[in-house]
Amino acid sequence: MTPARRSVDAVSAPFTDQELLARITDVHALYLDRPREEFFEFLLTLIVEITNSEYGFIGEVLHDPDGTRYLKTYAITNLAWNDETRAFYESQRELGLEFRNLETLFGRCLATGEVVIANDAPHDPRAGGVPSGHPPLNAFLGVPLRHGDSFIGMFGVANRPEGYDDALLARLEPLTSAVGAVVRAHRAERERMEAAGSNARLALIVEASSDFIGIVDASANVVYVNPAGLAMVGRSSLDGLLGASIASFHPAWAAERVAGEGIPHALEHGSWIGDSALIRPDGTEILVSQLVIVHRDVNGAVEFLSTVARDVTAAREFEAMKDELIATVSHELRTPLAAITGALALIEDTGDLPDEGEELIGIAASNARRLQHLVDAILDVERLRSGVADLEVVLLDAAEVAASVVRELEPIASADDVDLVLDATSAIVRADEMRLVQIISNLVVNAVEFSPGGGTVRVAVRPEATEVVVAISDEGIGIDPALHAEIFEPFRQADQSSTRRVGGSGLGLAIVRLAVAQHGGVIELDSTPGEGSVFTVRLPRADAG
Amino acid sequence: MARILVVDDEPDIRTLLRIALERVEEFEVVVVASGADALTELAARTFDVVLLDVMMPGMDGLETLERLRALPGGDAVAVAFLTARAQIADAEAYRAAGVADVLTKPFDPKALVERVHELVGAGR
Repeated sequence: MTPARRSVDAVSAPFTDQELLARITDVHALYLDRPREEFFEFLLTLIVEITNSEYGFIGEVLHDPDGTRYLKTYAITNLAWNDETRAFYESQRELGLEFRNLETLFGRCLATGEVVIANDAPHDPRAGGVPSGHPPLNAFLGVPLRHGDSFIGMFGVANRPEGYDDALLARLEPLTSAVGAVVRAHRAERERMEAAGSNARLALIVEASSDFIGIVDASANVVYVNPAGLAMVGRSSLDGLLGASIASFHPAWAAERVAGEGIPHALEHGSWIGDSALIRPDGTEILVSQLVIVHRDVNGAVEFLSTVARDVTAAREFEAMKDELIATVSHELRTPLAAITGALALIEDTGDLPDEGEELIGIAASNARRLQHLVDAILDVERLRSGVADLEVVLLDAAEVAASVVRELEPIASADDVDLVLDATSAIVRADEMRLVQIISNLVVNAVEFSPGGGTVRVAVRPEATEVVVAISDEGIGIDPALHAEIFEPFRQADQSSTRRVGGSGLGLAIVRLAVAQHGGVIELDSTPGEGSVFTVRLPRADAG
Repeated sequence: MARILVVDDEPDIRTLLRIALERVEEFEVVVVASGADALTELAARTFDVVLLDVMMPGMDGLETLERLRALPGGDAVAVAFLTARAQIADAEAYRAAGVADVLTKPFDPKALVERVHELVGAGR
């Protein structure tokens, strides 16, 4: 629809009240039954005509991410003065133009939210000029559109032959209010559609996800399961499962874990993630890594819970295969390494080598030994992890074990210019001596390796009420808190670049953690990067009570 | 003169053990590749010490030990198991099976000779 356009010079008299009222009625009526684009073009024409202006615009005030306002037009008089500008106006007709230049008359209105009247635009200090070819701008009126306290839009008109004034503005007020109301309505409608669109998109993602995604109500009864989730549990629909408890989806052990551990944890902390399993009607279990999230309303009451469960069968199989491969390779490396180190030792033993030969054999021998240690450590981790390693548990004084470790490692520490300080009080534990030595020794070697020259490593042993505490502290580079958990995983060192300098196998702490766990103990790490670390081992005290 | 029998399925390890032990003049060293060959040797002549690899295909060290003990005079011979260091945790179980010592591979030639000397002394 193209609204009838009065020629600019046809009406020069101010409009009448009836005319204004008729226009406002038009605005409301047309808003309801015209496509938006046409409606705002019509509205603009109406404002241009009733103010006896030459051209103008209506737009919404939006904000850039940094909070700066900009104007997005709903309608703008097509002022195209050549092919290029014609193409520009055409291409932007649907999307609206965005204006960010605040150094202009309309920009002044945009920046301040105040009415701008400029009847000598070419000489107005606030004006920014017009592009070459643009029809001249003689007079300008910029009117902010408000809703309550917020500045939601504006319109601008130009070149009223008589100029613009406050009286005209006051006369326009009812129309301005009506225009403000429709801009607000349009904005709300657009936001609703955007929200609906984004909800629809989110729903599509959930429906298309290959993970199990489910929703349960506040009483943990099933409300929704996505198609992949249904497929995972071997069902084609939620028929007969709506409102069922989560136990219908989990084997007993997993249902118990989710209900007894997962949901309580999520209620307290917002979410929970853990190992779980789903079950098919035929009893097949699918191992999953499961996330439980609690969703609350504004008052903090639980609205619903959602869960995402990912099938980890393949990952677990891969993991097991990887472990087996490492173990197999290590086993296979043992015999050749034993042969190499044995042969080198026999050559060294003859003692009649030329100097250079002795040096070279020495290099080969020490590197073969290094490989040997690595292979031994890998196999040790494997044994501890698979639970094959048996403990030969006896009553031991951890203080004595620590003292012997310190004596043993003293030469290594002083070679690195590190002070080893022992502060041990007799504390009896039930432990495998070889493993306890390994635990303390690995921690001390680790502390020495990460200590700066002149630093001190303290080894403290003390009994507490039910525990024996062994604490090894250093003044080294410290460990980023984000890495505290993974440093105990095989082949992890906080600073990858330090691997070479320290020359460790990357397995020392993994062995410590596994060995401590096997003794029913825990290991804790306290560390501040730049200040040092304290590794604290807590083992059950054998003579407690 | 003490007679030593080395039983290991790995040819290189056999050679290394033979060279290391033959450096001691009073040791006479015989090497075989399997438990079955070991039993044949042991049935034919007496040995002071048997160094027996635990992990061997076919008849392993534990089974060889059991059969060796059943031979006439098999009780008298000093047997030491050869095992990889990673299996050292099993040493106690091995000792319970009735061996005099458990030696780990890789071995230090000097330490090996020293241990074998001790076994020879213990056997006599």
